[in-house]
Amino acid sequence: MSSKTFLSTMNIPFPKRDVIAISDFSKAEILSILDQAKSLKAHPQPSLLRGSILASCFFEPSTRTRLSFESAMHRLGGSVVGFSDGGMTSVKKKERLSDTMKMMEHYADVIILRHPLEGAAQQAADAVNIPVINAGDGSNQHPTQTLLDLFTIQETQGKIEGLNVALVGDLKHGRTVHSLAQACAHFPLRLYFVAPHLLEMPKEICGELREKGIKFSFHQTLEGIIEKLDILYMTRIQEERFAHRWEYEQVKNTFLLKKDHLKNLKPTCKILHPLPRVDEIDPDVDSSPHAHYFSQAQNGLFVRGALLGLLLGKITQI
Amino acid sequence: MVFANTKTLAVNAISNGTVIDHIQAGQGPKIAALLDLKSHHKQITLGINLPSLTLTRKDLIKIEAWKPTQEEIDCVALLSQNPATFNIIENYEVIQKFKAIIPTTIRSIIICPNPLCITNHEKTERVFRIKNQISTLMLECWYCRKNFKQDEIQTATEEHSWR
Repeated sequence: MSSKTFLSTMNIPFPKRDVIAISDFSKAEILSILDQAKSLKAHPQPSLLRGSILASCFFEPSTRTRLSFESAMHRLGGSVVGFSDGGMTSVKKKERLSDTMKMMEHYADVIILRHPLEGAAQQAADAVNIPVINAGDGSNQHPTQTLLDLFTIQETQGKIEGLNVALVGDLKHGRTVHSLAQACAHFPLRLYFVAPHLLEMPKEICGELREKGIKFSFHQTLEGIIEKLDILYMTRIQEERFAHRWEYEQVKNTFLLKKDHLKNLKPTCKILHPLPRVDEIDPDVDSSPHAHYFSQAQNGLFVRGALLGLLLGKITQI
Repeated sequence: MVFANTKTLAVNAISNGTVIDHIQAGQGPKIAALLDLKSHHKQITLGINLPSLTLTRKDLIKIEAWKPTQEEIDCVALLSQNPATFNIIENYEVIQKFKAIIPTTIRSIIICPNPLCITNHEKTERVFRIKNQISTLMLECWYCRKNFKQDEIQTATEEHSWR
């Protein structure tokens, strides 16, 4: 077991903490990260992380998350080691994850980890004395995606609280919507869950929201709610998470957002998507002023850079 | 075994061991399974739905030549809604008596019901945080952060550990 504080998650000073789940952060801590990201976006600091090394450990495929972390590290003056495919490591020889992480601890100052098993990031964090950032553990958590989603919402709407937000698509398997829904517990939002019955938001998350007094409702279509929305958050139906192909075939084309759906959106409404998209947003939507998903992805650079700066002690928490 | 005149079957007191008293009625068998008592080679007595002055009905377990670990005490506390009482016996005397209090964390004995949790795939010390959610006791796996109710608790017996 590492010497890091065990079983405490909230209100730990940043240089000593891990980033495992968005629920580990208080509202003040989330707002502090967003403030630092805003500052970095406006005033780049190309030498901030000089001399620091990021271990990028991806046991599952990733484009945006891995590249945005690695790019953020390079742009801030740091370096990156790691792998993008678990099959290229000693895990293929059945090495335990904690052993792999103990080795990475010798080579780097901070670890980012994406792994197919739930809880992997916490196990890694418990094994080492350097910060571990969860870049996605199965269908479970994806805290940095949530931070950049909140940053984008705040940037486009001027606030996070008091908004009408629809989460659409695969709410059962989507770790991004799970994390985002949990973060919304800190900010009083009105949530609309738009999904087929097979892919509804898990009861556990709904229970947490109910406990925090967050209003939400279930819908099969956007009809009747689209004109109210400030944020329309689309997600991909995740074929790779289905146990049976026939279940996927039943739901795969349930939500297809096209340009003529946009006419009822509020002028200030923004369409977000954690990407990659498949068919759920038609490319014709890209040119609409509502489409904000590529800018959203770019914000990952600033949010992840701010997080790295805080965790490595190069930025002081506000 | 002593048969009293009033047709009451009495069980011998144990000379050394533990009596777990005031167990929530009906939970005795689950606690016995959790503690893996069938692997214990000394005398064990399990009483179910016994009359009780304080609880109306209770379960009770007497285990010869056995003392609980803190983890085992914590698990009994989780499974018995009313606080169970541990009586530690030496030479037929109760040398220690205490209530099993619900802890804030619990380790090792309970396995995570989430089949996708890494603790069910790699050897890891299992840890749960205990939370009260609107008067319902919930256990949160430290690793996968999923929440479970008391009745979803499974125990880590020899058969379950390390597939």
